Amino acid sequence: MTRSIEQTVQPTKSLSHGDPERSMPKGRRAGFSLRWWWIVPTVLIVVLLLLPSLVVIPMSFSPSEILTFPPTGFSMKWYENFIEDPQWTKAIGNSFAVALVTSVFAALIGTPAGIALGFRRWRGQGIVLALLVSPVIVPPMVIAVGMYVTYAQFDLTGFWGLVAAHTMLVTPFVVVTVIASVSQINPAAADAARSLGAAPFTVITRILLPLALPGIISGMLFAFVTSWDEVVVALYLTDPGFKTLPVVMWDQLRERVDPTVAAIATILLLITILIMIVVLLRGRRRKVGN
Amino acid sequence: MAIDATSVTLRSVTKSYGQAIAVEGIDLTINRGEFVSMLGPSGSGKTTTLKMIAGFEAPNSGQITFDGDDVTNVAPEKRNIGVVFQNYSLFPHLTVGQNVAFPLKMRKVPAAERAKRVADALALVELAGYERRRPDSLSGGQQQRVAIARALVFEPSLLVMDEPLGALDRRLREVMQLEIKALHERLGVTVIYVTHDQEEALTMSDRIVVFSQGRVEQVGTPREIYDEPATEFVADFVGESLALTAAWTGTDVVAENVGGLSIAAPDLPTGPVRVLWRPHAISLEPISDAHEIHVRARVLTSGYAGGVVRARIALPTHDEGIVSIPAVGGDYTTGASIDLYLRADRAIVVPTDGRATPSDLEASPSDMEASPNTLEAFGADHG
Ligand SMILES: Nc1ncnc2c1ncn2[C@@H]1O[C@H](COP(=O)(O)OP(=O)(O)OP(=O)(O)O)[C@@H](O)[C@H]1O
Ligand SMILES: [Mg+2]
Repeated sequence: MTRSIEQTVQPTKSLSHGDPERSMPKGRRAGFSLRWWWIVPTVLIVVLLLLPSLVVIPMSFSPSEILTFPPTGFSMKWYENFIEDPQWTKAIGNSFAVALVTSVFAALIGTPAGIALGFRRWRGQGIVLALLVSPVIVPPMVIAVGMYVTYAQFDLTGFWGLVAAHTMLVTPFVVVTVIASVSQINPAAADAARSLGAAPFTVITRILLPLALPGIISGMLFAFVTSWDEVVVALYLTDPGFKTLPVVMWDQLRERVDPTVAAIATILLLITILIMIVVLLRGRRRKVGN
Repeated sequence: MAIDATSVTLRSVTKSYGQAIAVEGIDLTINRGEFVSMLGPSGSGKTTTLKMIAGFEAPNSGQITFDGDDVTNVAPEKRNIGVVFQNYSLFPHLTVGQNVAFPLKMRKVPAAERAKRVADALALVELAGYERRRPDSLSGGQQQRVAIARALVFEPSLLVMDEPLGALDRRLREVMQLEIKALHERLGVTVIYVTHDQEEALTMSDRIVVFSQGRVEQVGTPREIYDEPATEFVADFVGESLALTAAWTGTDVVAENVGGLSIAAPDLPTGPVRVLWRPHAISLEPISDAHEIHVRARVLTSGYAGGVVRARIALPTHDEGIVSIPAVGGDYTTGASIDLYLRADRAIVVPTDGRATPSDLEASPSDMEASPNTLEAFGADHG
């Protein structure tokens, strides 16, 4: 499974001088074409996922008291409601704080692991990697229940409890993206740096970390987004005094269908799109740089 | 640049990776300012030896000294060695100028002096003004020159290069060979140069160290290695030759179906030997003033190779060999007979080592290529 993740990550600037993409034949080859095979999943994703998600946008501008589609008019009152209701603003602040601290912690502990696993091959690497990515494989419900029971023993709930849990959940993203960028580094570059006068620690700070940086940033973005909208573990580990946005949305949806949820969903969609644009632009820029 | 060259000594250096012995009992002295090539087939231990000299690997046993100082366990960054690898190994996130400045930064050279020395080093490799370029915007040859500039800018006392031209095409390689040689002569730095290209080693080196299976097979000047190979392996690996299986009886060297060769007595214990001739010692017609051994060979296969015919031939001693013959007149098709005259005074006698020859170890693509050596020799003698 790590393979597939690795391959979706943009490779960092490699030390090799050839550009494989340049020589990639376009379109039809050897009598049959793979070129249109993207269509089925893309259409399905658009129809079954993106379009249904987009209905929250018109709904959020509807003046009616319940979630309705199509909208019955135009009103900004749910946005006003969102801004004025401290419950929502507090939740957004909590979510942002948890996601930010989580992604920083994930980078701090995931980056060294990614470098260790990606830069040179060693025995037992596969087992370590399997353990490191296990948070992605174990069902979230199992993790949530387990954490709830154990963390509660140590009063580890609320902000720090959630940060601890989320950090464990998202560290694999950083590990895997850092592995992907570090494995592009020519090991001879580290040897070269040593012979040019760099002590081992300097090799890490001057050569490995700068080259791993694109992977660290991608991993942190994944980590941030995942923590930001994680609901299962958050439901168990938050308490009445500390709720994150997905938890409050969940509560609201269960009690009554308040269209404020649609307004928030629209804002979240916007933020996600912005993040995706940043990610895509970074990829583009890197290619142009090459 | 003023370089204070160092001498390098290896004393019975051995390195193994787990069960596999990479190099065993290497003894070697490299003099101050010398250009020494390490030559040998793939897997013979050249890179391993170089890594121990550079400090990337520690030997299991033995000692390495620079100018008499033991450096066996000194970290690479404290050895003051310039290293150039086959695959460039420039830092991709730094510009050319920053790459070359890297060793100076590590040595805390002030910025103004740094800029000047970077410019000088780039000028030395004919890349003046390339400071702001990115490594991946340069050609392979340019990248390798940047790597050389980076390895020289801090005035190391030793420059080690591991097949630095291996990734370049033949023409660029020849140009770069001359440039590296010129740099060596200008700077006087000690150079250890790893290659598995024998021509490269012959043209560039003051001395050549021939490696085989983790051991040093012979050390000598290019002329010694070529004209007086110590072993069958060296004779086969360096340069072309035609070899006969023979026996040294203590009074005479005799070969099956040829008889006594009446060549100078070899300084060897009696037993099976190989007698070799380099192309310049073989001709198609007798020359009056030299004593020659006449053998009649049969062509097994032949092919035209631009001006010469390359023929695989069978000798009366049941040996086979490859010769290049000027493609003028004569019948060199399969089954044809060729008369060869081998100069007795140029015969090279080496003990039979019973090992696989390099050409058996790796299918050599150059087998059917015209060799300038052979061409010239035959052209001159046959005229
Ligand atoms: N890191 C390593 N682990 C295990 N074995 C190794 C390692 N490095 C080298 N070897 C082995 O040591 C032997 C010598 O290798 P070395 O790289 O020194 O050869 P070389 O002469 O440089 O060959 P080439 O011309 O192919 O570069 C080989 O048999 C190789 O397989
Ligand atoms: Mg090698």
